[in-house]
Amino acid sequence: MTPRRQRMFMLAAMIVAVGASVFFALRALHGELLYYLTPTQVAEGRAPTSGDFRLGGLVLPGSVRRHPGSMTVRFVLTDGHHSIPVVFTGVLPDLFRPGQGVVARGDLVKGTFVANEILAKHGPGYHPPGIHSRYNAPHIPGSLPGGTTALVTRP
Amino acid sequence: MTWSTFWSMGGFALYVWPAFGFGFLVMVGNLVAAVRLEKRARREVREARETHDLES
Amino acid sequence: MSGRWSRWIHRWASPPYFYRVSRPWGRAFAVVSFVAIAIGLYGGLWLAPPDFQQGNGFRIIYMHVPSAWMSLFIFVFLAVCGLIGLIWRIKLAHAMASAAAPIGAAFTAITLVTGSLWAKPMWGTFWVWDARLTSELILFFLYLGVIALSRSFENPQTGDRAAAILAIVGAVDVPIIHYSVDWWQTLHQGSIFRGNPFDGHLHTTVAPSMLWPLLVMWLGFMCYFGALVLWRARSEILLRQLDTDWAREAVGAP
Repeated sequence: MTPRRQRMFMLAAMIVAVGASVFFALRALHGELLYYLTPTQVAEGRAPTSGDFRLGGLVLPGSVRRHPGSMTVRFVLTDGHHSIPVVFTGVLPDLFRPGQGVVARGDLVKGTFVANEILAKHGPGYHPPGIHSRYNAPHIPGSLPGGTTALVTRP
Repeated sequence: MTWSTFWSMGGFALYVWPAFGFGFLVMVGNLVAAVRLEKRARREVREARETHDLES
Repeated sequence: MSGRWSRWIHRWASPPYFYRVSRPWGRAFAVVSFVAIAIGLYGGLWLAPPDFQQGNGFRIIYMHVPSAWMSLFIFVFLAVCGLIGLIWRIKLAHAMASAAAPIGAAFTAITLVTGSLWAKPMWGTFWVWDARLTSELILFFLYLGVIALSRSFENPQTGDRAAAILAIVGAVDVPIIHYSVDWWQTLHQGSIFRGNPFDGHLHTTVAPSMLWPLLVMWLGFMCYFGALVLWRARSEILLRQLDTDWAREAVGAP
């Protein structure tokens, strides 16, 4: 074996070894690396039993209720299969709107998610107003593609 | 697009202009770094010759 | 097969040959880069319509996304240079990697900062520790590591080889960054290109009137990188060949 071939095999072995260890490490850590859980994952019992976690989904159109004279808002977060009511007091991000994506941080109290922070989750769609695109809303894993449209037809 | 919307970026001026400003500042900084690297390389080649001459 | 490759690589990797031919190539890249960035900025900041949700705030994409693509591309470039340098023992490959690493770090910094500036008004925060942002931040530290490692040995050749190994190993972060938005639930949105480019099903989530300035900016950034990496590599190869006749001739030393 020439020295050059030897170097090639050494590097190939190194790449395979590092690739494999990173692959298995990431697989083992998969749950920890999720930034948020979907309502379906919460229904499957994947949320921590105590303490805060992040809940992500789409704001169910028609579910947003604001309490007059306060900063409190209630809405339903859904992935099209499961839904969780959310209550939040504070400033909502500008992109908060029915049918759009949201990641809320908080914990579940008797079936209601009490949020202390709400971030907007933007979709990959970029286009001028007045165009319908199935990328208008972010894709929530496990949900139907099509965002709002799918939600409206699936109450 | 009008000039006033352009400068105000429809209210996003505070975010859009620093983003482009930072980007081009860094890209110009790269050019300055390349000029300095070339000067250093040329100087070191000349100095290597001088030490070479002193040794011989 | 290995022999033919080796001959081809060695011919192009001759430092005096590279020093001579890289200059006109660099100039051509610089011209295209300047024109493309000018057109891309005009298209992105003036011609493209405001977004249906983000209004004019979406225009940060014209800085953010091409920089992000460059940050990934340049790290792959480092890894390929590292492989060529280590396997064929070619100085020019290490010089190219040394030249490219600071440019890659710069594009990664631009990606992180412009992304933050977009995230604040859109998401409602400058930063989150989701898989996409975290893996891109790791890429920035990998760039810094490659740069630091190449300079931290008495013998520059050892530095080149250590940096090459870190670049090859660190390149595992590149697919992780790319697929992070599909593999893990992130706050960051998914890719703007969908489907397979090889079976004709590639499509994009961006309207054409907004997409073309993005692609033109990317072309401009690629050519900017091309011009700059050739320029820097000419200096890096001089630094690796200080006491050769061709280097003295190249700098006009007697």
